[in-house]
Amino acid sequence: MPAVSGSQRWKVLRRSATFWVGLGITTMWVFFAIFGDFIAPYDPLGVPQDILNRLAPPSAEHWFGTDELGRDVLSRVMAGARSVMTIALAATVIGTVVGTAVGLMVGYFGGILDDIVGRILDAFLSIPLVITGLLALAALGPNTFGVVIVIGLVFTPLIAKTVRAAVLSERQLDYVTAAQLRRENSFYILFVEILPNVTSVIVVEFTVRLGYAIFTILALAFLGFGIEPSVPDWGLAISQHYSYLTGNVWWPVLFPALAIASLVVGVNLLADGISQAVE
Amino acid sequence: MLRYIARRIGLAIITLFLITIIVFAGTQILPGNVAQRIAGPFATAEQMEQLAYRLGTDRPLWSQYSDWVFGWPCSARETDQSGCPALGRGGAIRGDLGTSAALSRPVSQLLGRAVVNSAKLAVVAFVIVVPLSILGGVVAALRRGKLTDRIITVGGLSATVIPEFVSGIVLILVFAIWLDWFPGTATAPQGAGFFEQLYYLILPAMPLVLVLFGYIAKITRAGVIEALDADYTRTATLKGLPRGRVIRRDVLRNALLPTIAVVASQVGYLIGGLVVVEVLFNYQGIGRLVFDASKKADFPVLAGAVLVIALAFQVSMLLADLAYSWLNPRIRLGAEE
Repeated sequence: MPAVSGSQRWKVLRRSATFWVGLGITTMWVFFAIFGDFIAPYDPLGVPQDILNRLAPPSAEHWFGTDELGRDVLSRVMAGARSVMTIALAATVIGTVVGTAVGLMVGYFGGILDDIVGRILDAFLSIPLVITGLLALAALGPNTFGVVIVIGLVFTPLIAKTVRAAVLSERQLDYVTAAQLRRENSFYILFVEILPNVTSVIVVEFTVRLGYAIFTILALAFLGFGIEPSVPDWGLAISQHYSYLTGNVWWPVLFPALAIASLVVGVNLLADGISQAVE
Repeated sequence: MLRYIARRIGLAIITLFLITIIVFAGTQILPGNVAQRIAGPFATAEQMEQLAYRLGTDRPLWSQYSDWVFGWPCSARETDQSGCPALGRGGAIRGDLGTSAALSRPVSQLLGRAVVNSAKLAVVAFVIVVPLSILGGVVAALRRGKLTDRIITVGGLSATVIPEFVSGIVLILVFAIWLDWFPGTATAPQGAGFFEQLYYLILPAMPLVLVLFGYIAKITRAGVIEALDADYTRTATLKGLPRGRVIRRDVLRNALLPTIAVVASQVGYLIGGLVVVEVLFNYQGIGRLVFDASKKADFPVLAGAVLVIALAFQVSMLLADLAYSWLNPRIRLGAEE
């Protein structure tokens, strides 16, 4: 692979339409995650002022209609960005930090450690993420902190695998041999010499995993795990309202669904743009 | 080739054993104990003790684990009618996964029915998605860089990342409620014939199709592009062979190799997606079983289901590797990597 300089990467990135569209959508949802509560037209947690106004179709007062408790759907969609984005970010950061550390060590020291970790990894990968999440959450009870830890833990071996592969090719290079000849200690070589050279791999892995985290968190929320029932959350909103679909009450379901679709597509376009620039 | 197969099967078996340890450890991180959960908060200490004895949870962990995997002779506890540990008398290795804590029925029986149902749904999804996505990938590659390529690539990528319950909801809304073309459930009435069952499974299969399409198409596209740029393709073209024949004989044959591996590796994602789809479309498959068991903390069922899922995944990976090596003469003829 030819060496790509930072400015070349930026040039590719700047001209990538997918990157800009992805960045735009993601930024919008980050904005709502932070300020959604304040700019929402109604209180997203609002106790229903009048119960007669429950499941009201979209109108001038409620653009997206109201839900089964008479709460404004638009406000809850805006505020719902927060729960999924914080959980996804926290889980992905944990997975990336621990996974990078493990990957660096396994890739550098190799040998028996590599074999053992490789086997355990294969075992973990045979269980779909959603199933692992269900298993763990059945044991821990519905608990937001549990979701963060479980997804972080599952991501750890996946990220470690990618970092390991990158380290294996770096290990052969002269700068590592030079550092070894200078008798630097292994941790210095790993974290000061090798780590900066594998950052681009880690950045790509981070954005891709962030997409998967959002996917999984919302699926678990839809299945009723991990989110407190009163918190505005898109997955939860869908699970609470999809039985009304048969009565053609589509607004409390369709708008959160579109929000989810736009967020995951945005994050993945962003990830795709970045990975193309890095390659 | 034989050595390769033996080595590959050996690795799969080791992996499965590691999974039994992971799953067993997973059932042990439970706060409180299984007996407490089943008996409820008002059980007396004596009832709890009896239940723990009946479930076998009063014994040391290593012995519970080995009973679950290898079986428990039961002679010591044969006296009462259900004196066998909850996680199975014959051991998972002989297909005995114990008794459901919530439904009081053998786990293997519950799993058997669910696996058949899920397999039907998965087959419908695969039969639709495999030809469609390979076609999509080939078309995208042949029109590389053009609008058709961008639509298939970006559209496929977007479809892949949208969670199944989101696309499922939209599909139900549009095709079951607004247009009324398909039923909104996956469960056909009792005694439905083949075509009626198929009709009920098409809409539930679509979210799985959408998720798999982008990924398989992407790999096919990459394979076709690589083959199009390869020397043998240029040679064939320069020899004056018609383009259609070059594509069929040289390009496709080489490009479909990586696709096979990808199709099989997607079985895991497919099963993950089944949970959501089966809950949404109210279908009694393995995903629904896992969902219900996790709601009720029914660990014998959960543990058994996860084992079956991991087994299905390992078998499909094994078959993919074998098919791949059989199609690829460099591996078939015994050359080391």
